[in-house]
Amino acid sequence: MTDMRVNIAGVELKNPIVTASGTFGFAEEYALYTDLSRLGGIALKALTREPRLGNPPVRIAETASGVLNSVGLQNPGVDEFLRTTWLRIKEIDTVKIANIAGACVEDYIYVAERLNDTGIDLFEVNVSCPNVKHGGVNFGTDEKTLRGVVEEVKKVSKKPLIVKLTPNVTHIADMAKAAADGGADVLSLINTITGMAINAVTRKPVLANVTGGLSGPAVKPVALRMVWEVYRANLGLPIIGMGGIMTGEDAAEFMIAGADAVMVGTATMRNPSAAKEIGFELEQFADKIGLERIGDLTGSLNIE
Amino acid sequence: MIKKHFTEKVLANELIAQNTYLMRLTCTEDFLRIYRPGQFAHIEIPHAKDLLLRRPISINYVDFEKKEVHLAYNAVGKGTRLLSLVRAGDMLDVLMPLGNGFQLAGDMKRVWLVGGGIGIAPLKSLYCKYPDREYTAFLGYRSRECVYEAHDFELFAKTHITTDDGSYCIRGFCTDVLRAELEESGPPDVILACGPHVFFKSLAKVVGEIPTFVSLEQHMGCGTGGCATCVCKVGGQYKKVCLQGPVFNIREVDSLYD
Repeated sequence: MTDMRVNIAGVELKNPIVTASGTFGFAEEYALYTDLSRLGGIALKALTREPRLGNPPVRIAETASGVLNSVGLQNPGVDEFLRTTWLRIKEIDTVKIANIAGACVEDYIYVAERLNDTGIDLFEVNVSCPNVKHGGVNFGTDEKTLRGVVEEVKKVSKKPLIVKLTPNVTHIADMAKAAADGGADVLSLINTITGMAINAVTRKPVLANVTGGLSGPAVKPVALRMVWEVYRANLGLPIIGMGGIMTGEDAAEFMIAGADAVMVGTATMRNPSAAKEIGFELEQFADKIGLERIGDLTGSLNIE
Repeated sequence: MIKKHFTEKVLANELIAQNTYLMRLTCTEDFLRIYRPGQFAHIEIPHAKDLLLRRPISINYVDFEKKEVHLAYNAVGKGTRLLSLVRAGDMLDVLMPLGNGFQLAGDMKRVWLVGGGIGIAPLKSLYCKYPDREYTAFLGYRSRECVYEAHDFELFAKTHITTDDGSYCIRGFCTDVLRAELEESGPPDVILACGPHVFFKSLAKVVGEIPTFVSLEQHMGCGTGGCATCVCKVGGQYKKVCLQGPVFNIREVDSLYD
């Protein structure tokens, strides 16, 4: 039996499978469909200082082996979250990650401070949402700005900081280094790739926001390459890899490329218990190849 | 814990009108216990891993004795066209029943059902749960070739049928017939409607103070409330059609009154 536990910045996960932010609501929606305690962790939907209405519909489009979305960080705001939803989900027996988004540094600090004294285990700083103007992606595409925002959030944060990187940059490893220099404890990547879909008959964009974020198996090769590049940069930080993971073997590939844990997002849209099932498949895969610890996969890419 | 994720067997999948199919599926006791008219099934397209999203299909009828669910759908895109190729005996991965559905208070005796196109499908399901009401149906189809299940409605409802081109029954829109019926026989206790957005817009203009509930459509992701993509603006907020809908009070649907 492979030891499936992994340690991310001092937080132990039962297994390396975490649900990706924005694809798993606030977890309670899924209690009906899956055993939440079998997940390595849950990254909650992004929280902002003020409630956010989100983008107008249409917000989703299916593309070849992919999904485009443009939700626009719709959420009730951190204060309302703490008054209501948090009380219902805080006892869920798995690692809970709060995804923090903002339009300015002060917003990030506000949300982090409000969540500091809760049972949230890790913060994921969202500097990479492509669907909101000033919704983070600006912070994530400029090294200096990225380093700055991470530094400021790190100063007030009582939890380990995951910085979620956008793939919409030329050199992902440079952005990873900027986040590390700012004090990131963990890096997660990739967020969605900006894309669009067009209806040729009406000549209109499918999404009301015109562009959206692409996810699913269509982005997996890009995501694997980026995880590998960040791993190769030797920053000494754990990596959470994601991008189109649909099976246990997909998860293994991300770990081989350098990830310590992985996130499952789009797969949940197809199958609400995908994350749990991918966890079982990864365990079976690891048992079959006789791994002692699942972490032994991390960075084991065999390049002759 | 109530289960909503099933693998069910296809009993039949037949063309019933132009591009319109009726699929019959097995279902469980769990499903029968919680099902409400107006809810939908979210179906994984089999043998199509490149189509990542399920397809939301409204529940057309439930046969409680035979333990069968009937789904009616238009084969219009890649996913529904593949679905139309499914044969009896095939297995489908289905989430159901999803959504809030229509609810009829005990004193809502006179019920008007107003449907356009494939939106007619979920309205038939009212009868299997509430057989003791006095129904009138207003059914709008594009043309003669598109007419389906009209005779089923005639069995339990006083039924008015219109076609856009006049190739079958009355030429025109069913909302026009509804307006005439309102003048002639007075308002019902409740109106339940399903159809395209333009259809709701004309309905919104004629219903006045009559309690009216509409079942909305939206491009959908997970169907379980997790991804927040299938929203419509209701009372100034983007509400999830899959979880908080698909049925809303017509007066709260902002896009019908702007």
